[in-house]
Amino acid sequence: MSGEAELFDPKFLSRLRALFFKLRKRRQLRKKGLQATPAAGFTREFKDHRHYTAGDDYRAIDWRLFARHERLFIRIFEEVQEFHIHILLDRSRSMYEPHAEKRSTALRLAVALAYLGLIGQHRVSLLTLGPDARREMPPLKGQGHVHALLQCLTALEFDSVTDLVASLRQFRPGRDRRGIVFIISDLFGRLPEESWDALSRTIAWPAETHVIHVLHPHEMQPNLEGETQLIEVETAESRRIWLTRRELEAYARAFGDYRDALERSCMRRQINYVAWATDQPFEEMFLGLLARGSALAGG
Amino acid sequence: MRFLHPAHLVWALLIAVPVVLYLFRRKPRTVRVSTLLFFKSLAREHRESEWLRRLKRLLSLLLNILAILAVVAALARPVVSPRAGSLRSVVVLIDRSASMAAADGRGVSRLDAAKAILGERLAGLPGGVAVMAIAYDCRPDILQPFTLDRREIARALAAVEVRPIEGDPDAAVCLAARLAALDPPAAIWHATDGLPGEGSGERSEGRREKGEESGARSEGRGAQGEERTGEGHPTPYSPRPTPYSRRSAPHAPLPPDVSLETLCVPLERPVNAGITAFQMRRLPMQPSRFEAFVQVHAVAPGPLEAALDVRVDGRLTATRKLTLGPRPPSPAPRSSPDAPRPSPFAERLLIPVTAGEGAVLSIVVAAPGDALPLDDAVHARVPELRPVRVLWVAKDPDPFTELALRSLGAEGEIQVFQGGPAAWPPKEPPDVAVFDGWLPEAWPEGVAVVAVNPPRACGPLQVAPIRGGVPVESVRVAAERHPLLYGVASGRVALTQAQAVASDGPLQPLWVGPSGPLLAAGEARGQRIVVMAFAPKNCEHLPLMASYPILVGNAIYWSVQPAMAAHGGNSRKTGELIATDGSPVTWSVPAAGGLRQEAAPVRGRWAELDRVGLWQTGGGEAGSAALLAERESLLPARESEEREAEGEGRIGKERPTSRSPSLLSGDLTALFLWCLLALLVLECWLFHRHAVY
Repeated sequence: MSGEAELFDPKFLSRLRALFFKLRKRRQLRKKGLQATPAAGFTREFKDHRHYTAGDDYRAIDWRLFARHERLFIRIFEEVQEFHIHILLDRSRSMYEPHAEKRSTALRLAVALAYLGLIGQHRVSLLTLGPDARREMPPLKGQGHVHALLQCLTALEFDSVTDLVASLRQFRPGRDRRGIVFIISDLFGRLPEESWDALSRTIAWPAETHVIHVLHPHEMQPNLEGETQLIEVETAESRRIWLTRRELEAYARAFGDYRDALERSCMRRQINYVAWATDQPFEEMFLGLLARGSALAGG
Repeated sequence: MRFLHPAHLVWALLIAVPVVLYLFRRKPRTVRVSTLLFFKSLAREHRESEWLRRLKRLLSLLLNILAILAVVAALARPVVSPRAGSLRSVVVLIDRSASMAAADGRGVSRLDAAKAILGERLAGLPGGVAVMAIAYDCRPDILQPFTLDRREIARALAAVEVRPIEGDPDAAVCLAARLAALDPPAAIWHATDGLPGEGSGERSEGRREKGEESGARSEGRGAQGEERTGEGHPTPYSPRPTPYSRRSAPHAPLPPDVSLETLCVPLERPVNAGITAFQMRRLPMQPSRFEAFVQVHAVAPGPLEAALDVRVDGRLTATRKLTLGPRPPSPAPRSSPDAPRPSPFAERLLIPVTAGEGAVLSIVVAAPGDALPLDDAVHARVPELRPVRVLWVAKDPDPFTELALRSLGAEGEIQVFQGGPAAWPPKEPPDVAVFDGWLPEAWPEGVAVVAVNPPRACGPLQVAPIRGGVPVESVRVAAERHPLLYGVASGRVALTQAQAVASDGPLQPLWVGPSGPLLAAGEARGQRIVVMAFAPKNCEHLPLMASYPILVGNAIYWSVQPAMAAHGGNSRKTGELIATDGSPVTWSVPAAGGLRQEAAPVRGRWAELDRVGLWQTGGGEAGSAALLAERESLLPARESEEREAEGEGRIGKERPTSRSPSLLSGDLTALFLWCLLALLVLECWLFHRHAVY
């Protein structure tokens, strides 16, 4: 529980709740009226009355009000859609070492997304990406599963080697509900092309896909200098290099090119790409994530 | 090599710092990173094996140590000087002769270059070595006795100026060697533009031969129809003997523990044309006219166009173009060590002088790119046309001699007085005394003597009568070029020898018969003497020839020449000494607007002719002074590296001199500082620009 309390303390949960209401208010302000959908599993909640006009569905006439006021009113219902939210969390060692902030950021992000899904009466699935995609717990629904979700995430070990291509090839979101897929990863593979190849698998998914690229600032701009023995945490491969300002500038340039290429690749596949630096404010980044077309926020 | 400040060598211990830092260097920092994906692209150019990295670390350590050592060496002031470690004294010998005024393209004279080299050498000399400064031209001059104060030496050298005088390095080296031997071990640093190992005599002779061998051609004739002497033809003029003969033998071997180092500062490609001989005299057969003999020498890489102007009192009277060109190339192979150097070019001219008495005759030679102006002009005053007074003393006058003297006197240039033995000594001393078959009891002093058929020996005249005489069908000419024989057909002479002249005396044999010399001429104690060991009336062939009057006239003119030269046409070489009465010598030296008057004070009773121009003593003696030195006009050229190498191999054993490379001689502080800079740049380039790790 101590780890759970450290990562997901009540303060964070209260901020999430406030965030949820903020999103709902924004949604209410932005979307008024009916939202008809033929999909199964929809709930209909009463929202308001209005005068009957010609052409309106006479089945919606509230006869009780007609009895009291002798005027025709029709009932307006708010349609609530149920999504299946898939949270794919990278559990490779690079998400934990050498920058533990990446792990906490990824977990908090997963919790936030799951919490929003649960309190929004959506179905939430949690999968981890390692050598393959592994389902950590069955799909959840309802606020009562928040604690179980927290327990599961707290116990998650970040110690594997990521094979993004194999993992994402293995993952298949169901077609019964509209899906929203959040991939939380640093996307580091053996080659830069490996990330693009893996993300190309998402085209076949019947879901809205969001790629959250969790990065530490030092991964974008290392603060190293001089002769350095570099060891990759996942493979233990080492490389000795003398780093000067010129090398650091070249590194930042190469990394920026990699991110730009990744973002362009995601845009071509209609994937929402978000580069999430661990030193940036969480709530601001989270709101920005949901504002960038997430059905979770707009639904 | 030694260090001027060896105490600074203790700083060499600082090399322990990089060594310690190397031994206890920081290990490379180990950093765990999420991925090597992007580092690999950077490290692609740096991927090297471990042993290469170690090698580069060692290289870096080595460069650091070398840099520290370079700094320490620079602080310790290393100097390289031959035998400087054991030297106790150094004699600095600097050439200030005329050729040291030759300037290169930047206007730097050879003297300035020599001063610079000596200054550099002196800066690198240890403090305990005593230094003496000597400057020389025709005679050495001690500027500064042995001293430990370098500033005094520097001041003395800075005050040295070029003098238009021919240099005599042998005398200077000899003096320097003697002085250096006082405080051995010692070194003589001889700064000159000449070549090392060439004594003045050797060099002069060599140049003279080459000058005579070199071809000379001229374009047309001068406006006054001057003659040009052909190659190998005798000239009627002999060079004036000087007390500083350049034909002296090479200097004696150096004393032990004394080394001679010649610091040569010649021009790389000298171009110069200068007047190396000049004499003005009356024409032998036309005593009322003068002619000037001029010899022009040139040195240049190729044919040289020169212009020779003749001016009388500043007015241009004649000009002519000279093309001083080389002879056809010698068939000797180029690779031979005896391959000739580029020959100097020479031209000899006889220029008639039509000017009144006392007029100033100026002859100026000009050539493009001329490096030495001091030898470009000669000035002389046209001599006074005073007849030569000849006293003919004969006990039994020889008719042919009388005939010859009368014919000479008919021209008006020779005034002949005849008398018997009772007329001797005369009240007024004549210019020339002709003793015909008679000699006075006491040898006359201060008058030129022409002795014809002397009956006995007297004074410097050493003759032995031959009883009955010896007929000589043909004489052997011993000195063909002697002025006495100018115009004389010696090969057709047949006569009867009446005396035998001693050949080991001061007189030089000119004609030699079976019984010894029968015509001799020479100078003893400043007195010119001509001896004819025959009686013309007893000869069958000689008196009937035109050669006899010519011979008598030549004898009179040659013997009286010094006396006549003292009256106006007294052309001398610079550096000679003249007797004065103690009053200043008045000089007329060439200037922009003509001749400028100067007064030169005289210390003692002898004055040195130390400038080019006209001079006049307080006692009335007048004359002119000019450089007139082949040695100075034929500027030596710097030998190419190949020839220098050949020369080292050829005569390296013969000469004691050596030339150290300028880079590794003297003060090496700058060299070590440059090494330090180079090391730093190399290290930066290797380990920072290319980041070889």
